[in-house]
Amino acid sequence: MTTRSDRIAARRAYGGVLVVNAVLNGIFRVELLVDTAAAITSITPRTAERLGIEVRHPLRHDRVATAHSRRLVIVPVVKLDSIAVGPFQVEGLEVQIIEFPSQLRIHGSLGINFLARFRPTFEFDTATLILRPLPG
Amino acid sequence: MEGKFPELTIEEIRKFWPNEWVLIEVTRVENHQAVAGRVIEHSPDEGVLIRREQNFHRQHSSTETFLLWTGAVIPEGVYIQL
Repeated sequence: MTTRSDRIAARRAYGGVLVVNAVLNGIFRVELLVDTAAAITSITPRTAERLGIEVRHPLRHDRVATAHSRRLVIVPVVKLDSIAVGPFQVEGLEVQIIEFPSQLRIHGSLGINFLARFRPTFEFDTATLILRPLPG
Repeated sequence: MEGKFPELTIEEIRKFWPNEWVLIEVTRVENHQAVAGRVIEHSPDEGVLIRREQNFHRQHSSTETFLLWTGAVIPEGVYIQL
């Protein structure tokens, strides 16, 4: 059943893309771009620094294709203790650490490895992300 | 409480310190959104505030902080194509 708590207020950034608040590791509030084209949620190196994450010893490295580079880039993958978006908290989510262009003042992107844990709906006219828990 | 500024709403903070990074001690959350806080420090340099935040959390290890860019997170005229 959908409740109001499923509705997560976002902000519309230039071009209509949605940016949501998230709380990482319980105390670090950030703004993430909602990105259904990103398989894995990401954070910037500076956000990793905020969280005290040791980037030199990642879980693994992933190969990443981005639209702005003709080459694959290799990025470290780490695990968050927790990420909370609206009332929903996920523990142990893997995130890639990716540098965004400096003109973008966002802390990362909210990708499919988070969104697919729900049935997401996007209301672009009201700048709202709706997350419904999966059945069962 | 450490902030040298009074509690302000996030919208007030955006107006008082436009187009810079602001480190906020979050004091009020409604519907899971930060709506008010005390500004700990502000700077055009995000790195300066990260070091300030680390110092803050040494004394307030469970207090939520928000590192907010008060301007447009995507500049006018720039399209995202990741």
